[in-house]
Amino acid sequence: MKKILIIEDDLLISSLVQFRLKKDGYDTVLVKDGNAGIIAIDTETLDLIITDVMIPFKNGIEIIHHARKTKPEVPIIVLSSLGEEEKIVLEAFNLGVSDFIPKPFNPNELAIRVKRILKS
Amino acid sequence: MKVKNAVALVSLLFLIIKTDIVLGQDEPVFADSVSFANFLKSQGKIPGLQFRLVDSSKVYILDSALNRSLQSGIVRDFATALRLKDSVLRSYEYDLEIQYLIYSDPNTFKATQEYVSNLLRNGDIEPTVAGDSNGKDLISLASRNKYSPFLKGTYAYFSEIKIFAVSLVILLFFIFAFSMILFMLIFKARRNQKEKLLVLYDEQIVAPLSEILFEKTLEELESLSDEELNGYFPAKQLKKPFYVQVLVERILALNKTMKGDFKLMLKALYKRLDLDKSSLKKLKSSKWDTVVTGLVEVNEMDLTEAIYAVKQHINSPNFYVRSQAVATILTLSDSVDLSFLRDQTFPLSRWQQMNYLRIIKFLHTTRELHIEMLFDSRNQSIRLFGYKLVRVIGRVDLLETLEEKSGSVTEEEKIEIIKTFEYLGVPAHTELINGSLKSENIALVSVAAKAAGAIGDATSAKIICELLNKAPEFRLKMVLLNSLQNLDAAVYNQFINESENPEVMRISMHLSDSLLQDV
Amino acid sequence: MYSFLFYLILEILGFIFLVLSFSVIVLYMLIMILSAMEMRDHRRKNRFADYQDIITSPLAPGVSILAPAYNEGESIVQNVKSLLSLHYGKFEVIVINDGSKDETLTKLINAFELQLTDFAYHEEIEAKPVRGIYKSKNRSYNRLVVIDKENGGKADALNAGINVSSKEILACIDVDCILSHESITRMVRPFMEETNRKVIAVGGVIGIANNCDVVDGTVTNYRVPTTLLGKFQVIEYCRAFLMGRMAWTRINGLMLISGAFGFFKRDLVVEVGGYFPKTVGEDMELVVRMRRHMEERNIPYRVSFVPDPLCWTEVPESEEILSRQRNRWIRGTIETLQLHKVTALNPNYGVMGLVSYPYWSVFEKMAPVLELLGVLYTITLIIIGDFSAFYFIALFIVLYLLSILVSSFSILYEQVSYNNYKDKKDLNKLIVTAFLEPLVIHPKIVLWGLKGHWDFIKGKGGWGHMIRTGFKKSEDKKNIEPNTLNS
Repeated sequence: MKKILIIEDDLLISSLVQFRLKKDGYDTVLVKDGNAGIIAIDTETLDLIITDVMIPFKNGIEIIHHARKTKPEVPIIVLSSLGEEEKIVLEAFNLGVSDFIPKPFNPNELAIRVKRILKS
Repeated sequence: MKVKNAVALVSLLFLIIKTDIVLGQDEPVFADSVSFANFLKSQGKIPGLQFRLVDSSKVYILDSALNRSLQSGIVRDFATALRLKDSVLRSYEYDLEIQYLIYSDPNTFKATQEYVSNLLRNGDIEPTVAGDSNGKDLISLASRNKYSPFLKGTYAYFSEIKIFAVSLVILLFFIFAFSMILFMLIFKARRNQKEKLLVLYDEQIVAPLSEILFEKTLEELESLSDEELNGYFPAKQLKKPFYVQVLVERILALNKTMKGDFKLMLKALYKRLDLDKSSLKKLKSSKWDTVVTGLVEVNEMDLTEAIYAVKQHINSPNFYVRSQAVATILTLSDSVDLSFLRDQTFPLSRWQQMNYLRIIKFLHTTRELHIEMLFDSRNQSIRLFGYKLVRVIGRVDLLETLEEKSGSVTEEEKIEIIKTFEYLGVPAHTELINGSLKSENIALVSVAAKAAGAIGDATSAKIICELLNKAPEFRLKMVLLNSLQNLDAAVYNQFINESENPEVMRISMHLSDSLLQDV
Repeated sequence: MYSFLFYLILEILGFIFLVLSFSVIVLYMLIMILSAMEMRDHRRKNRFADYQDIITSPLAPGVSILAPAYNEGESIVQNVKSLLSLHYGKFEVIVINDGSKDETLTKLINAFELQLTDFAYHEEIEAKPVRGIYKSKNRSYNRLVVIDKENGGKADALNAGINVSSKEILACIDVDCILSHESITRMVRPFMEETNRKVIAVGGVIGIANNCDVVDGTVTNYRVPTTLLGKFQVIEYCRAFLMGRMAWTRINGLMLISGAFGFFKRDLVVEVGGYFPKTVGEDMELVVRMRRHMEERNIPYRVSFVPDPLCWTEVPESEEILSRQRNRWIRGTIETLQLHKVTALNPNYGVMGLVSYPYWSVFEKMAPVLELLGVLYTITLIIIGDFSAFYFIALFIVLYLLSILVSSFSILYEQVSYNNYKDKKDLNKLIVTAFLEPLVIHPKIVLWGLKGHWDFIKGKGGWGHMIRTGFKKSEDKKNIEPNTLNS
């Protein structure tokens, strides 16, 4: 079973995403802030990371950096509350992010993209 | 302040030295015999004191009537004795003496004075006259009364009020303070309870919501029977106002973060649970925050049937109600008519503009909004907002209209219009910019200069050079040079090389420093 | 004759002290009511504020954060890192190295890959000479600007920062303050909400970080400090900051914004001439001057206040340092009030002249002196054997009870609004401190205030020697040096 890390401080969104992904048969790990996120990246075996940009304690970009450095084989999806600000999008893709989904989003669409990324 | 300290110190010193300031037992009560005599006259009967008229010369008294009274002799009070003495003198030309008897013993005048003084000091007799002109009487009065030695007559009146006022204020204060603390404690307890309930309800709500959203389609949701719905959201719970509030908030939050079909499902669910009715009810409340909550709910859940009720609140004097009502109308209204926004009379704050901008930006993808209507508003802040909208939404087609208007608007509006031109980056429309460069208003010149750098022409470059030669203020100079550099590098370089102004040198170095780009 | 004069003075003093005591009681009642009303309104308004929107909206104002630094080498890198990661769109962080004698500048240059630039510095406001302006080669640190200048004091450093800043709003902070990641969005909101009254400045509260868990620039777990002085300052924070300033804001009479966390409109600050470096109370002096400026031009304005806990600092817990701080505060107050004497009781200056200034004069500036006189007065009465002494002793007891009640109320106030100190044991400690404060701590405060008056008369200036010890609780040690993101 594939394991997905979700880094998101809004409990409602994270429970929703968790619910949706579980429906598709994935195993999920949920953390609420950047520090816990880094620990999770270091300690867990992951198949995918879904993270927001604006989270407590750490900039999302820092998380991405860390993930790319320590576990470069794990794809990352950015779920951004910053909307579609061009700078952020470009920076994220430059860092090697696999997909970028701005909020508000469609959870079913998220699930489809997750499936696509994990298949490749 | 120093003087006050000095006075206090000196008074303290006095206190230490002259400790006998408080009058005591040593001072004589009566200053002289005259005052004593006057006292006896006015006092009347004095216990233990009697008077008798005697004939010290022992000459025989002729009148038997007089003789008789003289034999019995005792007069109780001094005034009568004096009168008797006077009448004898008048009638018989006989000067009698008054003899003083203390407990039937004859005594001298002085001794009598001493005796009466003691009586007064010990409080055995009350002087019948208060406020004698002789201050010493008052002092003896005062020292007997255990009063403070303050002399002022108004003090007595004052202290009565003082005690009363002191106790009243203290009492009021304690009542007030205790009741406020009690109130806070109750409030805190209630809030703690609410927090516990919140966690509980969250668990009860999020799971069913997720299930419905992901397991069911829209048709299935709409065809859910009441019992099935009850299974997700028990009717018992729905009767509790706090449960309903949490449910509403969760649905709204989800609606905000989600896109697509889910919004329709949430709206259907909202209506099925009769939550829309509760939102409508809130709009009629007298408390402003309830009204705003209702407006937010109507807005988020797109309850178009409430539009009439919302319109009632557009011109509310309360900033939050007004702001949210306009935002809601923008979202709900099927018509593209922005006239209600145009006709707003209150000045539009940045906060409101931010909110409306977000809504209009979103709506713009689905509807055609006549933003140009805002340009005709009588409210300057609305007009300015209109110009901002043009640039943020990207309505390049309206630039012509703006150019036409730009001749007849205020300088503040010109600034906004120029910013719009610059942002949209469409060259031409240089008339406005070049005209503004020559203005007296420095803010306008500055904005025009910055815009010229992006969309100016050769004329702009010339005007900028002219302005630079007039040695403008530093910040303006920097903007001008920056724009000149973007417009025409050759002219810029020439200017730099020819100029001897040190400020120009520094600015040119700043402009060519790669680290300082995009600051 | 002398005896008459003496008693006349005692009579007048007695009357004055009675009036003063009653004023204090009435004032505290007013403060409690006004602050409660204002907090209720604030919480209601907060519910409808979408702070997420401000972060990215093109209409949100730009913010220049000014952080003067003097000998802050120990924690400067960590502090600047947290400043750079605040959640906001358009902002710059300007650190002003005020001629530090330690490795503050070197650490900054190394940690953030700084380089000297050809910045064209222009002295809009006079300040000590600037030696260099640095920016980073690394795009992640694009927002950082470091100014290196000769030592001139905090006000002078801020003025240099103002000269370099380019955004609409200035945020003047102490560099070792911890800021919450939403501090900018919350503090900027009053500026954006203004309609017919121009918001010229917004003040904030400064919480107490002593003994709290601080992780990556946010307080995660609140605990009451261990020392009595620390606990007293927590109560003072609830009473003076939270309650007191909310009450002042209600009537638009706020005259003091903390130098450690205050937001101002840049154009207005430049217009009034920036900070005044010759006073120790430069934060209060600027606000008063800005208010005066608006009153004199008859422009309707407002000084706002955000009570949300957005900023924390370490407060002094040793008597030596605390006494120096209070000494400086009193001197600053005296200087500011003197500089702006013309506003006193002057109806041309609105609420500030008619209410705030007299209050600050009597109940803040003269408070230590009046209290001393009150004590001396009561002792005098006792020595004379005057019965009024009884009333005044009773009054002292009442004032003691008043103090306890107000402190308890303010603790409760904090509980109801933010509930940061959740531990029951902590609450009990605070209540105990409320009982001890008027007997143990307050006399010291009065003494230090008197010394402040004395020093002011002697003409002493300056900051004293303030030592920073760094945070005591679990700071992430591994984040002292930042990860260089290019490795």
